[in-house]
Amino acid sequence: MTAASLLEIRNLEVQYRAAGMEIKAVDHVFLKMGERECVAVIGESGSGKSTIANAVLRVLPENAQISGGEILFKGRSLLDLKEEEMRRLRGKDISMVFQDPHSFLNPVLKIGDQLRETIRTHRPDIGREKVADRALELLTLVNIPDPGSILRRYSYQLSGGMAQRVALALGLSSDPSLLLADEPTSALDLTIQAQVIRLLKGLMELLHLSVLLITHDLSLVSNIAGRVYVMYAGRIVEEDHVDGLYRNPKHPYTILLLEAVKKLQGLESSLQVAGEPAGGQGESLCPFLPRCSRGQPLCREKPPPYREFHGGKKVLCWAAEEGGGK
Amino acid sequence: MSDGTVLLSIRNVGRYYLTRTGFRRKDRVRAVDGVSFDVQRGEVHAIVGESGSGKSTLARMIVGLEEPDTGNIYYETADLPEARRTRRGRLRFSREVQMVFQNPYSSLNPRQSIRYTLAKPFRVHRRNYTEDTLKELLLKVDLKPPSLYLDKFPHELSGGQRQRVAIARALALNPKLVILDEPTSALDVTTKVQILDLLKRLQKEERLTLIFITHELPFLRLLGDRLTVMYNGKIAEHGQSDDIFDHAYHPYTIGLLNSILDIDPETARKKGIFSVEGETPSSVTPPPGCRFHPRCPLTEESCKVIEPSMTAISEDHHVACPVSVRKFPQREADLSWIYQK
Repeated sequence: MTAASLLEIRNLEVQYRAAGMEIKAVDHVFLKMGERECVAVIGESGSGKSTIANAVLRVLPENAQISGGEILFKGRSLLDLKEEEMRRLRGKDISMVFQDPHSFLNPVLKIGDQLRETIRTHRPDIGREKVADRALELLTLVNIPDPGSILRRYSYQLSGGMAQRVALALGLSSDPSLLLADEPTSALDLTIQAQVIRLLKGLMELLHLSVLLITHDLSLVSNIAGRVYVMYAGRIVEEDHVDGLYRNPKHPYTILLLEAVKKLQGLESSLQVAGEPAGGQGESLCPFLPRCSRGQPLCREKPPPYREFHGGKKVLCWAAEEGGGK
Repeated sequence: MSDGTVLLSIRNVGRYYLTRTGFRRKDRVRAVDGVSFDVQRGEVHAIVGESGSGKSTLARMIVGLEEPDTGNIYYETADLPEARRTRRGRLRFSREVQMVFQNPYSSLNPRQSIRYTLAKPFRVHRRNYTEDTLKELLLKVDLKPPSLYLDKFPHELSGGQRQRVAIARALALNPKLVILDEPTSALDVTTKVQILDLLKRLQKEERLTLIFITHELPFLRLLGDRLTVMYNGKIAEHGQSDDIFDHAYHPYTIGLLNSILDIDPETARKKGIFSVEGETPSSVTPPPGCRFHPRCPLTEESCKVIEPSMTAISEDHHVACPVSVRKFPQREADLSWIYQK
């Protein structure tokens, strides 16, 4: 583990105002990642995982606000930065790749123009030729065959896989210290998905990238992430190394999630899933309680503790116990 | 489950769209091109393919939302597109053949209550129904207690609950064949498992024949009896699901199966990430010969010229790759090594 942390989120709380109500989308979130780490936040839709990434970049929608906590990037508090300073940081030190590359790329600009514009914005000092070279170099980096011809095309002329590679090239154009990847492969076909994941993994090694991966896909996490945070209804319910999470899940939700994925892959078939995923209600009691099969009387009385276990695993649960197995 | 009789027979079906691709230029998109297969009564027949493979177009033709340009779709003894030309035919086949769409957020009318939505098929077909009929439908899809749901509107329900309502609506008039177009793709993993379990149970209880269209290959081991793999408007391989999962022959199927990521991090590290290089070809200008040949590790000169026809490996397993069949006369469990250079 690296000692100095690249990104540290302390007690983050994000509230949305909707239909006259305040909803906590993210609550009590602590997250820490070092240089060259790939850390994943996994959760179902509505669990608040994307909100974390958006809060780091301070690009939350109008009706949302960070109502508590701290976000430290290389020791600097991002929440205290002026908008102007934040803008210089965004896309340069911290960049982001989104789920749908076609809505991320500008449809009326040629790929080359978009790349060159981004490069110039972050490096106003370099000359015209250098910028053009850099654009080509970036496309080559993300394995685009015939990069010269792609530069002259528009995003709508590209397939999903190509467009996602271009989006990745844009994200990497300023040598960011941190890449936020929000479901980078979910919109792609299976064979293309595998290509992009392989590329991302290769780039992480080659460029020593630090990646915060936001996803619902456990198999993606197992393939590229080091540590994982499991989110449920706005709370981190478990954190561990991928191996610890897979071999020895402790939170009842993590157990359910793992069994569901195993069942879908035809590995286990006894699972019965009940209940509906909850939204973030900001309840002080355990958010998973309504669906939990291991509930104890204590769960209905007090908020669950975030307890640490052997090997650095942390679990938000009264029922989790030390030791192996489930 | 399947009694061996054919319910739906698709013969040489093609669907072509004209698109304007430039000034005064029109191109023909071959969405589905010469596809033939049978669906047996009582089976779950899965059609797998990536976007642009033609799987949804095929579904829309079976259910009557589109007409094939070539070929025939036979349902029992009727030629479906032909039979649907009369009002009686349309009514009959819209009762017997139903569809569930991918996105329950757009397939349910947001301004209509669940009660109204579920009663609609009965009104359209002038069938009698009572409050209890509607409640029974909700019970079938595990929305309990039904009285709680009848007067709700779609926005008050979760994605999984909406999909249950959509399934209930499809079952209203006791269909024989239900086509599900990516019914779980928009849902979270745990909800996905619930819906798949529900479909499995309903299929048995209601003695349904299901055509399950999806791009999510991994979970078909859980649901599909038979599998048709499509690539770029054509069938690459079809047969019993287990046969295909264990003895895939078509290089595309082999690549697809190996692209499924391992969920065990330890195996994932050992295996690394497998990927089939290259892009899915456009349906406007598909490659000549076999459409997979630019990405295929087994490509020979003939593949670039001759469109492969289906070869039978066994009575129930057909592959559109003569090269693979010739090279591997013995059934090998794992042909993934063909991708290693």
